[in-house]
Amino acid sequence: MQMVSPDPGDEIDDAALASVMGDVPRGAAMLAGAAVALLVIGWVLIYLLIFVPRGVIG
Amino acid sequence: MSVRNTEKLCLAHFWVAFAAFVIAAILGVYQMWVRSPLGAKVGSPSLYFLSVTAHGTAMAYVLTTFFIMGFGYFVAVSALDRPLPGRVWAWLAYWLALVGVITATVTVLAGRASVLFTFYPPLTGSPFYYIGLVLVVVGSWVWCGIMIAAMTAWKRENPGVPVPLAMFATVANAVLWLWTTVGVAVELLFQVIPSAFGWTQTVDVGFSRTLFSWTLHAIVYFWLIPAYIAFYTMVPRAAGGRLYSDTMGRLTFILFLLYSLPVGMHHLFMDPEHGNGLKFIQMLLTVFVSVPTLLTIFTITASLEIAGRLRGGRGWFGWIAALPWERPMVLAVGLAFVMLGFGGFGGLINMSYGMNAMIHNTSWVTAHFHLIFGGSVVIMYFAIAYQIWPQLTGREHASLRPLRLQLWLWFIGMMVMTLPWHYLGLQGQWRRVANFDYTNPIIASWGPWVVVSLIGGIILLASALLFARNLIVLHRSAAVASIRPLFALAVHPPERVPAALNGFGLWNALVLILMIGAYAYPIAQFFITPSPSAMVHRMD
Amino acid sequence: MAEDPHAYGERRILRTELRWASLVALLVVAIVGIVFYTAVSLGMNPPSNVERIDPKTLHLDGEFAEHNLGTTVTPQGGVVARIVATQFEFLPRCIPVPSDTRVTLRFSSPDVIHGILVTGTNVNTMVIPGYVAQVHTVFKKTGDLLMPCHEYCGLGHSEMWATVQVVPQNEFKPGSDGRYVCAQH
Repeated sequence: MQMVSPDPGDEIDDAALASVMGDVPRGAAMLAGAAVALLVIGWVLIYLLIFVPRGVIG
Repeated sequence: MSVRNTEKLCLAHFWVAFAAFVIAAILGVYQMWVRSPLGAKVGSPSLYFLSVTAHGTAMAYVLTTFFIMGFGYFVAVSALDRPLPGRVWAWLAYWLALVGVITATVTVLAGRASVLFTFYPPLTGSPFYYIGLVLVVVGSWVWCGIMIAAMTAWKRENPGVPVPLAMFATVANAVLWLWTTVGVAVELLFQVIPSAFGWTQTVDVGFSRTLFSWTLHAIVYFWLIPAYIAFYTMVPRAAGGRLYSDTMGRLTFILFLLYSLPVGMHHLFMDPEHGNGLKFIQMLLTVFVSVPTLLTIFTITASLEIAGRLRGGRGWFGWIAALPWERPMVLAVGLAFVMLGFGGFGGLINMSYGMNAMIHNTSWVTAHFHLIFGGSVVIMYFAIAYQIWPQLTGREHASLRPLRLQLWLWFIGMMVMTLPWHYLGLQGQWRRVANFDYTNPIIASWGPWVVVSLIGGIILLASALLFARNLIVLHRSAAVASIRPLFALAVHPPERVPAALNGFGLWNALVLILMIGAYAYPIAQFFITPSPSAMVHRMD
Repeated sequence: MAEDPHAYGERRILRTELRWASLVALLVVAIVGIVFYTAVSLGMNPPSNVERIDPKTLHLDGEFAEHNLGTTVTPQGGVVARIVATQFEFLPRCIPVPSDTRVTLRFSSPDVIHGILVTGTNVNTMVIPGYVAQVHTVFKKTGDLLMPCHEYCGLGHSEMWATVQVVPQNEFKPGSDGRYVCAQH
């Protein structure tokens, strides 16, 4: 990846990265996990409350 | 990082894309107004369906293809840091595609091709509409060739070095597009254009729908991949962090290449020309194409978490507030992910085989693709444009506030427009209607929600106009751009990757096998047992 | 590559991604499993009978000739409704059906692509010229349901709709001429 002089404001040093990587990806797992759980719950609700009651089709 | 004299080429493509976008946004509001109780006595079906054809063609074929081509040229020179091969061909392709756009547009505006962007035979418009589309596709094929040539030349000059992820993904998209366009190209060249010229009077409708379905799903991934390129290669840098995993990025784009194509028949779940077994197989394959998105939301969220924690965020969720939300690219990904959640939810329902019957051809479908494409994907197109415009013009945004305002308006407008459509779709509101009979009690109950949707559409139009304004003023901005890095580093920048993650030979072979498995019999059956053909119905 | 002793070694990252992918795979398998069960055990499938018919001679004779359209009851007691979808109306415009009974709806088109849904139900199918579209269902709720054409079929598409009149099972009777027609109200 080609880049010119790194943006001074966003220079990341190894120590800082090592320090945060101890916690990552707990937060992401929680957030993404909650989102996916909501998706699945929503799917199941639509299945049980709308799809099946509307009658058999084939 | 210079863009090596491709600024004009990129900007030429982007301006065609965004001009089509703004016009289509205006048409969209007109359409929503006449469908609502407020506009029930206004307009006519011929004007409405002309508008829908123009709106769909502009948004689905012009905005997308031209944006993707322009962005691809930009990535090819900036990520690979080498001049673009075949620049003359690139310009020829641009002019060819532009002639195609003008041809198609004039034909539609003359009312001679009100067939909608899906142009399902036997409805048949003037041949010049279809020829216009073919020219755009041929221009895009030249772009594909240039993308592949650029990556091939770079690999020759850098043996054993991993192709920069942004270019790897761009070429994956180019390869995908070459496969994708086969379906619609065969349909247009062998069925639709001959009947549009009057050389044939009948058409095999089941066959044409099947060919179009080959293209119809994969094309949305062609549109989506640039947004994902931004997620993986631009967002982590913009947020001040690192990409959690470069390898997962490569795998994601490979999975899209593999599973975008053999799933098109999920658009035909309700069609009588294919049986249950094939439909169920396509459902399974569609489930596989949901995987790269589910992987992406984790990888990009983790990348954002790195950035947030580096800025001092602590705890389970403190890193979220710590992110630099004032930067448009960061704001865009946050809003995009919210819309992706809702849009993806709709997609899960659509793909679930029998459950598709609840919502096929209702406003739920309209809601789904406006939210996921118009929402999550197009908001990233805005963010990409904002991010690279300074480099293309040599000027800086005077302020980021109007950019953020425009992104928020887009998000709010899209949610307000599409959420009621989901509800209305479940109530049975159907698609492509020029005006509803609000004296019918069932339809009358939908009225208020249609008006809410209309308000969302008006907010979107305001956002679209503000977007154009934000780019136009940049051309006259006094400030000079400071060169800053664009592409993200991974936590572990790869030094070597396996050949399979650096090229597409193996994956092309797999695509061929998957397409044979998914489409060989469905297409062959139209030759073994041809469907009785239908009379061509002229719309010009 | 050697095992990276750092907390954020590349292998640790890939292992984490693999764990997430496994979770995702599990959920996806669960959804597929429910869909499979629904199809096989509950018998709920998209309409897929693949039956060909010539659109150009639809009106002349055979199953979709005009006198044969509408609701009929077979000698075995099965309820079958035959409907033609054409630019820009359904024939017949009103289809009476009994509640709580297995009903078979059969559609075809002599001209362009149409499609139907019946509000409040899972009844939904494309009507493709060249094919007979067939949907079996059981209507639970009585009343007048809207059956619009839901696929663009030309400039008159917005005006194309019919009514499905669901009549309580014990009130579902033919008229004096032996034909089933909708009650006027």
